[in-house]
Amino acid sequence: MSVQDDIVTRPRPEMDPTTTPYWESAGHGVLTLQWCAHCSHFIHAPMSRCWRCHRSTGLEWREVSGRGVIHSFIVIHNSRLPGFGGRGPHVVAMVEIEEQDHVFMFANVLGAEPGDVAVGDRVEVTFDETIDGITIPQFRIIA
Amino acid sequence: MTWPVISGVGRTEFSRRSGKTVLDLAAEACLAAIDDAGLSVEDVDGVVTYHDNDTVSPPEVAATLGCGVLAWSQSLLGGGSEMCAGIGAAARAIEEDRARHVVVYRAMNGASGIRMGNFGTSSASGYRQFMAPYGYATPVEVAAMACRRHMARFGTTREQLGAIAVTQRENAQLNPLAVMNGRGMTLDDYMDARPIAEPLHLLDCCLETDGAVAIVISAPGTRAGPEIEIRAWAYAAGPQSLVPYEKYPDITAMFPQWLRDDLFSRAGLTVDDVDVACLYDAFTYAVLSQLEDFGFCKKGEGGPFVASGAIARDGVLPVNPHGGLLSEGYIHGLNNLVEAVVQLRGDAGERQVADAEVALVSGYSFSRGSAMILARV
Repeated sequence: MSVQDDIVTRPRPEMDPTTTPYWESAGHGVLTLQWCAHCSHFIHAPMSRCWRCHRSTGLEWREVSGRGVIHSFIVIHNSRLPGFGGRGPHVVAMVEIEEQDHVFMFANVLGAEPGDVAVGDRVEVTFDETIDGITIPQFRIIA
Repeated sequence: MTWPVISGVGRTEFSRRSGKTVLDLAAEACLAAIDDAGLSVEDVDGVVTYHDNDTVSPPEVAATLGCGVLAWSQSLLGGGSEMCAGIGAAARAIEEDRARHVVVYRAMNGASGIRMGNFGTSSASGYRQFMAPYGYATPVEVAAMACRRHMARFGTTREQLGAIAVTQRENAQLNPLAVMNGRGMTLDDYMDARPIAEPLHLLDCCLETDGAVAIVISAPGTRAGPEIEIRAWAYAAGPQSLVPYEKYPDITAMFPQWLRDDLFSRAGLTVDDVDVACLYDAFTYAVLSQLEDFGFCKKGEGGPFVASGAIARDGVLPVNPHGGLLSEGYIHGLNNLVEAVVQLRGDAGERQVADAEVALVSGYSFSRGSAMILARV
């Protein structure tokens, strides 16, 4: 089984009205995050209301650079989730986005051995992976 | 002022394969606790549990026990976080004369039946649509993410986490009821264990266990011998306490930081008064972070604190002298509370902590949790 065959068996994001713009934008190769115009603050994961001002009226979507810094990461072995068990260990990173402190995304770090990943590494988003038609933003380490 | 007491404790054998139904395990533990309190089933008018969709309900247990009219019953869905809150609410019901004797049980075939960490974690809907597609799902993985950050920020090491695992395994050697009694562990064994979610490895993780534990909560004067008072309890959930905690203020800060001031002020005590701590130890890192966030040491100094021997049975703060969830068995934290009662009664035999009069017990779900201070009077 190739890696790509394996990927299609992974849990596919179940888009909902709150999150659909995020996934659709990723499908066009653009990382957009939710933004509250009342609070001038990014929100991720997306919410139906801003958790600061409790309003839905200021919510917009803004393109971001896709760059950030690894705040933490783990190396998962023998995951019980479908599509992960047979492909060796995988890295999940918690990435703080460049645009705003304390706004985090989780994704895999591709193209690096787990032993080469470190807290503080700079990363950039990629759109190389899809699960059953949904592009899932991933990260690669950059210099 | 008098507080409600824990009048009885009971348990089944802990094993990897009970060969019994969860209902049978629950009934066995409840009857043992009722007997320990010197009561009969007819005296019980409250039945409570907390669970993760892996157990039997209070109506099933009450029917099997043959209880009469119940005046109090709750079934709390959630992690270990709910434990001390569920017990505390039952204690409050007794204070208010809503009930006389409440049984709290936790029963599970956690090894041979429904394994913790499997329930719902492969879902990719709601908040999990940002986790499962990336192969990020289970409680150990979420704990590991916090642990790595702690290591990067404070210099915490695997060897320091290993001191927790090894100390508790040593404790289990003095506990004939522990699953790991007779199976010692060295720091080398710990370091060589297979990785699960690095930085956490197999021996950073609690056991998976079949068994049940129960306690009885009553007004004072129920049982002969020392009274074990519920001196104070508290529940707290930090802001944005939702997996995977991307909006939570600081992933290295666990629930005790949100409740410790209330807990100790309600008890009229300080951390220095705690003689023994039975902390929810789903993972070694959960112990380390709670020690810091309860204030037993400064934030970031949990590693040196545990490596100093402070948490050993003869240390400044004995932690989980029975072996805990790591080495006695995993009954979702309620077995840790039973150990606190046994220690305060002075019935812990070879593993007795000298002069144990005040115990801290906790239930953990990362940023959410509950805790209780028990005192012998």
